[in-house]
Amino acid sequence: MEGGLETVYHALRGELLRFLIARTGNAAEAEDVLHDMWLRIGEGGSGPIANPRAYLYRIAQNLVLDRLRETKRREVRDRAWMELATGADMRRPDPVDPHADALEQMTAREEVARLASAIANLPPGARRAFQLHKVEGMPQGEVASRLGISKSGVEKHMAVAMKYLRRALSED
Amino acid sequence: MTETIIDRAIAWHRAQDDADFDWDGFTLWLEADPAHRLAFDEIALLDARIADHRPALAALLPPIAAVPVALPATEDPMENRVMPPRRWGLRAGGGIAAAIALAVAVPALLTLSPLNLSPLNLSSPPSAADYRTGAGQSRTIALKDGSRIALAASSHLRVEGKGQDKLTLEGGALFDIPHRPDRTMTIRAGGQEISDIGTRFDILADARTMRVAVAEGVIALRPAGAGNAVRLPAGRQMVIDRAAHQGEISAVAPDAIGSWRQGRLIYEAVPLSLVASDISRYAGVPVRAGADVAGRRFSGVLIVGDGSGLVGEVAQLMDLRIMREGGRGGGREGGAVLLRAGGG
Repeated sequence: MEGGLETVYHALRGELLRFLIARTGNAAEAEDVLHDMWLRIGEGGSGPIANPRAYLYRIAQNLVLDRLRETKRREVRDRAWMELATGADMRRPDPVDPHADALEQMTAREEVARLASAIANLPPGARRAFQLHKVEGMPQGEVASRLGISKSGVEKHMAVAMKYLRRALSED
Repeated sequence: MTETIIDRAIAWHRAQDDADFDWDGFTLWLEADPAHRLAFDEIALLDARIADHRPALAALLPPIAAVPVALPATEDPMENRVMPPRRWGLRAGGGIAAAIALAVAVPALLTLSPLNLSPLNLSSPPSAADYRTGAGQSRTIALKDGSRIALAASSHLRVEGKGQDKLTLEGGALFDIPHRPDRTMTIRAGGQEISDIGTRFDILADARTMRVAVAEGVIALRPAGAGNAVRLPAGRQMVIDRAAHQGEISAVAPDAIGSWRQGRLIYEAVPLSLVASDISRYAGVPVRAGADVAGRRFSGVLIVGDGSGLVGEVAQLMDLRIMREGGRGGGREGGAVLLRAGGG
C-alpha cells in the first residue's frame, strides 16, 4: 500500500501545499509540514486506506495542529516560569529540574479544574451533549438517541458548547 | 473576531472528521481571510485542550442523568403542604428555571439562638458525642441504626439521645437516614429543626443562612420553638435567612445534592454569603461576601481541586473583586478574603 500512497502524495502535492499555505499562513512552514508528511508516509504501516486523498489531508491537518500545540505549550510554560520567577526566592540559584515536574503537575491540576468548571457551567442542553460526546467519547448518533434529540440537534448543542467554552477559557 | 467567523470555524471543525469532508471548500474558506485561519486555530486548540484531559474531566464532572432532570413546570407539590398563615406568610417569589419558588416569611418569634456547644448540659442524656472536622477534612459518621452522615470540612456534629436520634449540626453534612417507624430523628441546624422521615438530604449552614436540599424522601422543617412545619420532598431545597426571617423553597436536581463529596460544589440560587462561608472550608482562608454582594444568588458548579482556585472561580462567574483583609502585621499573608462588586 505504501507504493500506492506515495503515488497519490506525488499527484496531490500541489494541492496539499496550497492547503497547507492556507492553513498555516506561512509558505516556509507549509513546506516543512509537507516534508514531515513525506517522512510520515515513508514509515508506512497504516494498512489499507479507503480514501487516500482524505487520509493525506488529515495527516496534514494533524501535523499543523501538533505544531500549534507545541507553540502554545512553550508560551504557557514560559509564562508560568515568569510568574514563578517574580515571586521566587532569588537565593536559590538553580530552580530547574526539581521544580519542573512540580510546576507541570500544578499547572495540569489547575487546568483540569478550570476546564471542568467551564464545562459544568454550560447551559444544560449543551453541557449534556458536550459531556457525552467529547468527555465520555460517545458517538454523536448515540448521543442523539440518548438525549432524545436529532443528530442536528446534537450538532447545535456542540456548537453552542464550543462558543461558550471559548469565551469562558479565553483569559488564558 | 466576529461571531459569524467563529461560528463558521466551529462548523468546519466539527465536520472535519466526516468521510466526505470538503477539503477544497475548507481551503477556499481559509484563503478568503486570515481571520478564518486564526479562528480555526483557536477552536482546534480548544478542542485539543479538552481532549488532553478527558479521563480527569470524566472523573470530575457530575454524571449525566439517564433521563434529563425535568423540573415540574406547572404542578407545585408544595402547595398542599406549606401551612398557610397563622404564623407563616406566603408570597410567590421569582422562579428558578421551571420551578416555582415560594418565599415563606419566617415568624418573628423565631429564636436565633446560637448552637449551645458547651460540653456540659445536665439535662442531656449521657450518650453525647461530638464530631469535628478541620479545614480540608471530611469524615463519615455511622450511627447504630444505619444512618450515615458525611460531615464536610470545618464542621461540627453533635449526636445525643438514647437512640442517637438528636443531632445538632454546625457547617455542612450529607445525611442518609433510613426510615424507622418507631423513632423520629431530629437535626438542629441554623436555628431550624429538621425531622426526618427516611431520607437523604444535605445541609449547609452558617451563622446567618441555612440551605437544606432533599435528594430522597421527605423532611419536615420548622424553626426551633415554632408550631408549624414545612415539608420538603425530594428535589426541593429551602434557603433560610435567619436575620431577614425569610425562607425560600425552590427546586434542586437530586443528582447535585451532596456532590461536595466528589469535589464539586453545586449551588442553586444560594446566597453568596453562604457560598463564601462554604468555600472557606476548602480554600484554607476565611472568605466572606461584602454587604454589597452578600445577598446575590449564585447558581453554578465550582470544582474544588486543591481549593486554591475557588475564590477566583466565583469571582469570575459573579463579576466580583477579590480583596484581602489585613492579616498579620498588616501584610497579605494569612488575611481573609473579601468579595465585593466588580468594576465592570
